[in-house]
Order: sequence, then structure tokens, then C-alpha cells
Amino acid sequence: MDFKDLQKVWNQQTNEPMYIIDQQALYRKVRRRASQADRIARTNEWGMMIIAVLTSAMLLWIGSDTAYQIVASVAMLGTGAYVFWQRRLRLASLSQQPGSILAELDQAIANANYLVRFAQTFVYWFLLPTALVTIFRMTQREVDPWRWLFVLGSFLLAFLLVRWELKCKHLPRKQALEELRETLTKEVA
Amino acid sequence: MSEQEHKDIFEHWLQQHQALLFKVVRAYAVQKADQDDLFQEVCLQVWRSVPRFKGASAVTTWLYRIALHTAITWKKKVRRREEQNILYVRETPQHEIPPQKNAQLEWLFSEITRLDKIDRSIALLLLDGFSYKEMAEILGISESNVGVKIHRIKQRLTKRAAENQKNHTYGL
Repeated sequence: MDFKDLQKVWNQQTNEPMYIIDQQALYRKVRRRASQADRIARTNEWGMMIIAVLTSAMLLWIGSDTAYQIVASVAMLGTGAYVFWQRRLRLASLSQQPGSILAELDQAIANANYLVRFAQTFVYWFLLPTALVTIFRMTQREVDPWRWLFVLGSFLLAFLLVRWELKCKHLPRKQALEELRETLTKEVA
Repeated sequence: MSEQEHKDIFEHWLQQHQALLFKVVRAYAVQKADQDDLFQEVCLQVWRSVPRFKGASAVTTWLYRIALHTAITWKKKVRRREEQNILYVRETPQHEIPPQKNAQLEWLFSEITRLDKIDRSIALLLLDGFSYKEMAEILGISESNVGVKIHRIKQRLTKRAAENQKNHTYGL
């Protein structure tokens, strides 16, 4: 038996319906799942932008009108703008035509890398220094306990959320995509 | 593109090319519940891809690319989930699978599912008559790499078919 015989077997199925689809039910389910995934992405982006804007406002609200507060506040607004720009890029990329599976994988890996870098940069180069400087400045003056609670709580929440997202979502996804790419491009021995 | 146009194209693709999607689903998911899961995932990705389709390639090539990519990624996700022993509740299936009458076809599918996930893609494309160039474009690997893989797949499948014929386990 050669491969042509197998191809004949394969071609037998062309006109055989294998499943019966309830098209309307499927459409509703697909639509629901698609909106759910889009909603998660949107919530994530808007959440980051709101955190940035609120932190910026909070920095100005904390105390005196020093250069630090103005710079930090502007930097936070910049972070919000950066997230907004990335969101625009994401939405634009949805309308682009994919090339091959490998190209799609490369794009997905690049996105995963971006998210990992973004989360790490946000925590170590922005959130942590901002928190330390803010706390230091608050110790220099009399601040209400509830304001302390609000400020510390906000930083802690932002830190935990970003770390959780990094460890539980971005890193495993990046690793899985890279493994997949390796399998796909593995040279035949 | 309006919501109605989007829906119409999706339903038209599903109606015209469902056999293609089923082939991919069957090649990557063995259990019925897994097939339901993967089929829904493939449909979701097809639905999302509708506005991106500009007609630069044939619809079948486009759908194959989406279905294979989804299936390969899905397989990876399922394996990781199994490794982590995470239990999850599946959604209610939306389609029925009548019993397979064609034993030869059944055997061929079982052999395809034994291939690794990339070779499965190539086997499906090969059996559906795609050229080396088209396969290379869909997968993003070189034509020579596709050629070597095809040679290996053909060898394996014909060898297995001969063994089965010898053992009278399927009636070719």
C-alpha cells in the first residue's frame, strides 16, 4: 500500500457530515466568549490607566508642591499614556493580516516579552522607587493614619496585582509559546 | 464591517468549510469532550479572524492556518493543565458526533493523532492536497524542512498501514 491509497481513504470523508452543528447556539457561545476575552483585556488596560491617573493625583494631593511630586505625578501620567498607546497598538494589530503560524507565534512571543518587561519595569523601576520616596516624604510630616493606610494599601495592591499577573499569566504563557516555537522550528534530524 | 456582515461571513465559512475544521479538531482531540472544547476554541478564533481576512489567500488556507494554530496552542494548554492536575468544568457540547462508520478512516485518524503536533498539521495539509509551498507558508518553515517531514510521515503511515493490513486489523 502506498500513500495514494491513504489519500483515497482520506477523501472518502469529504462529503460525510461528521458533526451536526446548532449554528445559532454556537454563534451565541462564540460571541459570548469573544466578548469575555475582550472585556478582560479592556479591564486590564483601563485598570492600569486608572491606577496611573489616581496615583498621579494622589502624589499631588499628599503634601507640598515640591518638584518631586510634580515630576512623579507627570511620570505616572506618562505611564497611563504609555498604556493607552500600547492599547492603540494592540487594537491596530487586530486588524493586521497574519502571515504564517510561525510569524503569529513570533508576534505572540514578542507580545508576551513586552508584557513581562512592562510588568518588571513597572514594579522595580517605577512602583517601588515611587513607593519608597512617597513613604519617606510622608514620614517627614504629619499625615493622617487613614491617609497612610490609603497610600500604603494602594501601593501594596498595585504591587501584588502586577506580580500576580507576571507570575501566573505572562511568564507561563511566554514559556509555552517559546517551547511551541522551538518544536515548530526544530530541524529534522 | 457591520455586526450582521461579520455574522454572515462567519456562518457562511462554518457551513462551507466545517469539514476542514472537523478534520483538524479530530486530529488534535481524541475524546468527545476535548473535541467540543477545541471546536469551540477554533470557532472563536475563526470568528475573530473574519475582519482580518483581506482575501490575500484562499479561505481554506486561511481557515487551516487558524485552525492548526489554535489546535497546536490548545494542545499545549491542555497538556499543561493535565500536568498541573487542574480540574475544570467543560461547557455543554453544541454538536453531536455520529458513530464513525468508516473503519479505514477511523484507523487513519488514529494514526494521525499518534504523530507529534506539528507533524499532525503537515499530515492533514498533505492529505488535503496542499503543496509544499503552501504548507511552508502556513507553518512558516522552509520548504525543504516540510519535504523532509513529509517523507518521514509518508514512510511512517505507509509502514503502519502495511502492518495493519498484514494483521488484518482493518479492511483495506
